[in-house]
Amino acid sequence: CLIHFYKRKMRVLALLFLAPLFLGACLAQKRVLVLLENVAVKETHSLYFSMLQRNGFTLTYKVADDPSITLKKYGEHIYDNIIVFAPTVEEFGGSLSAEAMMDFVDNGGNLLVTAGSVTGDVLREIASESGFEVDEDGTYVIDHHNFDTKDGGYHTRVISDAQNMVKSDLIVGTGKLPLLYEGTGLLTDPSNPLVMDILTGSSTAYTHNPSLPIKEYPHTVGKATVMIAGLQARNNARIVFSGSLEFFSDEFFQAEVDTGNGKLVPSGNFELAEALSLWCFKERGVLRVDGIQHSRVGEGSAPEFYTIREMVQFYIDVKEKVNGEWVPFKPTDMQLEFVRIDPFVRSTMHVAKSELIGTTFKIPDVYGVYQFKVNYQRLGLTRISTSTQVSVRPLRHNQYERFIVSAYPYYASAFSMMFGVFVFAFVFLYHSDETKKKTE
Amino acid sequence: GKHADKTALCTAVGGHADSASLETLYAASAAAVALGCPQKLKLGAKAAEVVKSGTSDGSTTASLYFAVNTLAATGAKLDSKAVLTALNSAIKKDDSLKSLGLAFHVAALLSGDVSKIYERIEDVIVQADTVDNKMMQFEGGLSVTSIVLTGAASLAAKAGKPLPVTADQAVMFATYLLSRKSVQQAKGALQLLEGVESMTGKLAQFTPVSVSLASSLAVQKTSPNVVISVLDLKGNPLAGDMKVTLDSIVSSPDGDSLATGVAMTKSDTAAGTYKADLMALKPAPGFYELTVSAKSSGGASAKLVGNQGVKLMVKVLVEAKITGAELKVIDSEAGGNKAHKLTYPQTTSGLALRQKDRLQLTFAVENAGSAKAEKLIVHQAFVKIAHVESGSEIIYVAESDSNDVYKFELDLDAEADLLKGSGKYTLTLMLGDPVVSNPISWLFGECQLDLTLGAPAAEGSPFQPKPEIKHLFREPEARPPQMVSTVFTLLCLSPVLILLILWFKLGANISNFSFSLSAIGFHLGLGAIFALYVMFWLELTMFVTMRYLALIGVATFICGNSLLAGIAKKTSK
Repeated sequence: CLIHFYKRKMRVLALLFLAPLFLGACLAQKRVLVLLENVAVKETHSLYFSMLQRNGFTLTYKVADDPSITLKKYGEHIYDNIIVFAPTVEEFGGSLSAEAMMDFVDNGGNLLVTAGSVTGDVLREIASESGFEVDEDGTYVIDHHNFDTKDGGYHTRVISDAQNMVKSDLIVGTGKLPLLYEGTGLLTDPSNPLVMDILTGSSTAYTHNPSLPIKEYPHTVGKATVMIAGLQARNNARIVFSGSLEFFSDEFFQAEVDTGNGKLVPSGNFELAEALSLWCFKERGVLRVDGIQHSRVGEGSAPEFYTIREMVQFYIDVKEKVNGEWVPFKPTDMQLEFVRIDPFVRSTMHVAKSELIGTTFKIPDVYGVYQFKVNYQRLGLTRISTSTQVSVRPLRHNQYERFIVSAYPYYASAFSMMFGVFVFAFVFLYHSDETKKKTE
Repeated sequence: GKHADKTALCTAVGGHADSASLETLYAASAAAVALGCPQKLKLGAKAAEVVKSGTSDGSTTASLYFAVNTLAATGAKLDSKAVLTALNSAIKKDDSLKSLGLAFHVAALLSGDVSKIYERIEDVIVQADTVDNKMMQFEGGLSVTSIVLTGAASLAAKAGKPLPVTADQAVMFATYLLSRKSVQQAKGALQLLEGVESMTGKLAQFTPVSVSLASSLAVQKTSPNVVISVLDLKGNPLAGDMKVTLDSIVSSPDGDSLATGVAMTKSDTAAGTYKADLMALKPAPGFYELTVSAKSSGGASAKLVGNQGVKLMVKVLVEAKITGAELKVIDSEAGGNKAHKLTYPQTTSGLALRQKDRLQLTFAVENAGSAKAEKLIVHQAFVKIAHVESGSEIIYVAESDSNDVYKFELDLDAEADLLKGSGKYTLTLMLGDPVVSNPISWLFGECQLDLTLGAPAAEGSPFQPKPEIKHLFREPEARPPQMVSTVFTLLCLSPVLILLILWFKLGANISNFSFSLSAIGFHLGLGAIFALYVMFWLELTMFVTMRYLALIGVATFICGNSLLAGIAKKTSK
């Protein structure tokens, strides 16, 4: 009786201790450090910050060269995401530097950085570590064919059509409104598989210093004029780099785009900024593997080992984060690879029981140590890479085919021999030579 | 109707008359006054106690602010001396900007000598932060700035002394307030409006003037007027007649002066706007910096700030046209060339180009609005070659020579590996410049390109699913046909048959058989051993078989031994 009482108490105590851990884990993903150019940015970008707060993020504001900035406390990062709204900062304050930022990203933190026509060296360093390059100081993205008439006269406030966004609803949302942009251009390397051009200019855009004539080829021209670039690192940390701080400002969010032909259209900046921030801070396009099951067809649990030519079934439970909740993810093109150094079998998985997707196949007739590998990488989603090792044994001596028709002669000869010996025993022991005596 | 709403609101407000929170009492009483409720709010006993303690020595400036305002709004008596002492001690305890701002508000409501608190205004103004050399604000943003400015203004007005703020500082504070136009919450909006009111109302010491461009930045033949609006912070035109002049018009990069002292006339586009015809001065296309001054012809010009020497930028546009466009296709092997004359905006189609061709495009850009052939240099003169099927495009820069004629050369052989293979291509000329009013994107050529290089192999992107692999199982070895096996099975069975037949022929018999235990045992045992072998072949493992075999073997051996002994005894007899 006493034992039961203590057991219940321990259970309650355990729950009490664990509950804040769970709560902490839920809140832990949403701590954001916002580094500002000056205190006025907090107010000129108030719509953006209030949108983040509505989405559940806790923001800590600091001016970029504030000496009290720290990222780590007792060896652990105290923020999950960093926003840098300080294009001209030359050096961060406190313990922050480009190296500390990249260390933060290596540990899974996400970055949202804005540059500008004049960009400080520390941001250029962060950009080059992330795979982009910021154009020289004094350059703007210019588009004489698609500009907002409220610009400063040099056609530097450009309008980019919604078609120029990367083709992924997870990253940019579903907005179709034109986007207003004023800032510098970014150069991305098309051969880098981790980098994506989130928003580019139209064919008529280019980056250059607007008051200097064009003497050499502009650094970015046409559709290669990248305005917002993104990177998803191999550890799934995300970096979004924008060449314009004004893109996120209240003025641009509330602006009406005047394309010059008289019709005023609201700008799509707010929708894009919201979608982009939610994607960058891992609220959208995040997958996780909840479990893997593999077994012989017809069985429920994984065996110790498999034998060649067996039918095996494999199920994986993948969940996607939608609106803060993990819901089953049902892709149609996730593939399973059965690999022993090289893939022997590659099969597309389909939706199986309720929340799982899986497939069934026959194990190859080559024995060895294999791995069930699922590598799923799609634009806008985090990478899934799981690997389960199993051993595949060859047939045991008693698992081969028996009673083969071609062996009947051997069976016949063996058994007929046995029969012969049995009968011979009789004849040999009890034969009497009476006829022989008669002849004698 | 409206009256019903008002009475409902007044009743709602009156419901808080006995609240225990100073802030609620302040809000309720001030709301009653603002709504113009027929009865002033009457404080309950508890509320009166709270207010009394709020005005006593030791309370914070915030409490004093709420309490004093509540007393003023409910028409109660105010003990100015006691409140003043309380205020002084509160400031001593907490002299942050917000606290001092609230103190100014309180002091403005008191009678008596408030000069000590008035002197603190100067200390506060010095603590303002300058942002970008354009704006001035107090640390804490809009709320603190508004509280301090409105408090200082009302205190200065009460004390009958001027605000220790210079004209430039007033302009910078005004710029800050206007920059917060996009404030989202009701509280912030109220503070913004109060701040603006303190700079535009009758009691305002300064009236910042907003001089801005009302017309578009671009001036051209079709819209030759520059329209400037001269308004106060609220967007209303200033009282009295204003004399607005363009002190100077200077060309922006060079600094050449176009005109000075151009007077502006009242425009009828909106109240408070003035216009001047810029195109009448025959300006060359480009950017111009205007310096505007707005002087009041009445007597109120001493209060106006930010109205002299305001710099605005305009640009004069020009309409461009393309002349002398010619496309030469040069065959680098044969040496011949074919020239196509191009007319904007027509497209020359049907060009057939091969890899060894070179393209040469020449054209000039001229001012469409001028009678003589005035050549222009534009910022963007790009030629784009686009592959129709894949949508990929390459853009080149056309350069101008010493005669301002643009030339562009494309060597197809050298660029062949950048192009995406043979097929239909379009050639487009893109022209643009900040001062060109009609940016041109002219599809001047459609051609069929024949490259000897094939299109580069499409690389698989990591985002695509990879091809499926189905394992090819080893074919089982070929087996002989069943008929062969059957024949040989029968052949293998034949020796037994032959044995039995020959035995029969030879007259083999078992006549010496006698039913003895050992005989039966032996033969049964032998049969059992063979049966065990058959079972071993069918199902059993070696271990089980060995066990059985041991048992049966021993039994069979004993029986066999005794049987042979018996037979031996018989034959020896």
